[in-house]
Amino acid sequence: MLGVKEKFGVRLEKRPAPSLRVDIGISILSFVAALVACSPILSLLGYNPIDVYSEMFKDAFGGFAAIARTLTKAIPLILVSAGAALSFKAKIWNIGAQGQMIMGAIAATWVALFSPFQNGSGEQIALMLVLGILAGLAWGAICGFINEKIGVNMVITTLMFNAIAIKFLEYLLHGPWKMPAIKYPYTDPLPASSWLPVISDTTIHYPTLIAGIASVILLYLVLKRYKLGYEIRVFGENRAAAKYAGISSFKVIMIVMSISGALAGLAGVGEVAGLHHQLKMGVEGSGAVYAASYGYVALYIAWLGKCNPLGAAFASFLIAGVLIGGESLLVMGIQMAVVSVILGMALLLLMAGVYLSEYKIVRRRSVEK
Amino acid sequence: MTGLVSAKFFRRKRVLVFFTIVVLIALLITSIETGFDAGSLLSVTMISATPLILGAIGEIYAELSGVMNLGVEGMMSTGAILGVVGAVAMANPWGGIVLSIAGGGFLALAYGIVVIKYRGMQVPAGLGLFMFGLGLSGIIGTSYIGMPLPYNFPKIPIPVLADIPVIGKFLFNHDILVYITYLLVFIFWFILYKTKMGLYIRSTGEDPGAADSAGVNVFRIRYLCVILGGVLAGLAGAYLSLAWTPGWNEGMVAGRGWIVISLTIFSLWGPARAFLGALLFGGVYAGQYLLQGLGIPVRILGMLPYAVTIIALSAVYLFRKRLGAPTALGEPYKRE
Repeated sequence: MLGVKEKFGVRLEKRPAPSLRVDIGISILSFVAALVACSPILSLLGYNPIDVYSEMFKDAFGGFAAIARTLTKAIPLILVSAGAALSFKAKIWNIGAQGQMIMGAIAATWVALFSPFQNGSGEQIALMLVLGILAGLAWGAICGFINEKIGVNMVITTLMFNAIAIKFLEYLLHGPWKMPAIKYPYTDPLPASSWLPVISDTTIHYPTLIAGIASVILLYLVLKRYKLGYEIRVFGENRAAAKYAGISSFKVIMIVMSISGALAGLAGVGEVAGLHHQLKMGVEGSGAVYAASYGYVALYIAWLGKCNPLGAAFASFLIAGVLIGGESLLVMGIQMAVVSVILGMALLLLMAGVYLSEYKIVRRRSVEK
Repeated sequence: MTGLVSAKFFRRKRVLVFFTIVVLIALLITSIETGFDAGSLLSVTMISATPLILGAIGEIYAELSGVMNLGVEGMMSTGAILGVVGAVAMANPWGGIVLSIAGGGFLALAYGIVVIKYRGMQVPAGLGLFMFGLGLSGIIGTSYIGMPLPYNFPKIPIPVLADIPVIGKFLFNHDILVYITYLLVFIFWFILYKTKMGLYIRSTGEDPGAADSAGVNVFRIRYLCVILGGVLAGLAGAYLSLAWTPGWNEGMVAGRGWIVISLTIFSLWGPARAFLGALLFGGVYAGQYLLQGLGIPVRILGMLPYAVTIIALSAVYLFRKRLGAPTALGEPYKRE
């Protein structure tokens, strides 16, 4: 008998193989449960949770303009969460997307404002993209190197690199790159020739969106069909077995960290060149609360999408809606921190819910003795 | 490792003690020779180290029992705001301490249910706890931002001892929470290595199956240790908001929760070594103020604690062949 429990005339039986339908169901259930669990907090603050949630929903998905806003927000999330999904698939705990995005954004801003390559041509935009991607890639790859060759815990390494990147951004914005005219820590606006094109009447910078969707599909195929993807999956399931099978852990870690770093770097470029058109604090997220950084939000998205790039892309759109809704909360006088609470709670519940996916409910009478 | 000292030297456990004594003597000599105020520097070091020590002891217990809790930052943040709330509500700083301990413990219990009972994966669940705690503190703290706090812990110099040059300022001229921290380090060191309970805890993290068959209640031990981690993280947060800089500001924990987790590894899961390690990290925080005087930009200096963390951990990994991490760390226990 495999772990059988009986209660209320039904019993739990171990599920022999994971089921996609149940997994999706649990993902959705955990998110709804988190909304329910966070209602008392909102009530305590004196807001009607149903009003708050319906307002959030309306702002995120009600009408064309709202959906366009949500899609704009989803662009960096799709990129970053695809990288996060890839690394979590390999059980490489890369939570450094925040720092990698910042480094990408810094590199792009440098090209557009401070480099000798400001000729306002398409090549300049290409250079911004390439350097931004490389900066994110390097920032991720260093962490991978330190983790693999020295052994320092990946969570710690990537977090420390996040903090260092934030301090570096702060230094640039308060020091050499500060806009001279005003007191706030912003750079000058980027020249319009270095902006990414947008779909008219919206803020959707479509080159980044296309790149995001392309990389999601590519990663999905690589994970599913190619040798590299197989190696990554085996590495994630069982490192000892991977070593025994001759899979180089250095190769897997460096490749995974490079890819997810590059995607985060691209997301950083997109935010600067496509949306904000200047470098500022919080360029890698959507709020003052630092847990609202896309890097942290993407952690949850990756798990919500079961560490599958395609699933993560769909989840990105949903969570982008939550973030947009969260911004509308500011108007109601509630802090963005509510979003952090909801997402944190949802991640905890999702982790607890994995337990449920291991079992299936069977009616007692259908079991022959 | 070749060079001035052999690698074997670094592998000895006493190297941290030795290092601390050398630094102390060096500071003592400098202060006598040049009139440099080493006492104040060390005093700030001790104060900066206190929340790190408290958090690290809790995390050490949790990890030794086999549960890694990455949510320390969130629990500390919640502890910090609850300290302010409690102190204001009860017009007494101890009220703040009680509330923040309860809050930290409660968050840790919720985490424990997820990872111990439902065997959730610890790294993502811990990150979830971090986001939840940080957001919660932000929500609760909205109306307390920048509020001056009349209730805090004053400095209580210990008579006679506080008059020793340098050392007096370093160790014996602090608020009561720092003295309690000294006591807690000793108590938790004692429990871990000198009592049966400590043996149970360590065996639970090494081999839960064997511990279980020897009659140890693995689940109870893990719950206790995780909750203790939350309680101490809450206390550490309260120290920040009640003793160090009285009052609440968003993001005031400023990554100390992650330094705590690094310190846990750096201390090789020992409370006494965590105390010395915390002094090293605290010294970095204190040293920032010193280097600021030399004209280095504040924000570049702000990178120091994080860079030092990476370097210090790298040193530990490079110089020690075996870390001695709890074998079952991060693995949920399932009774077959």
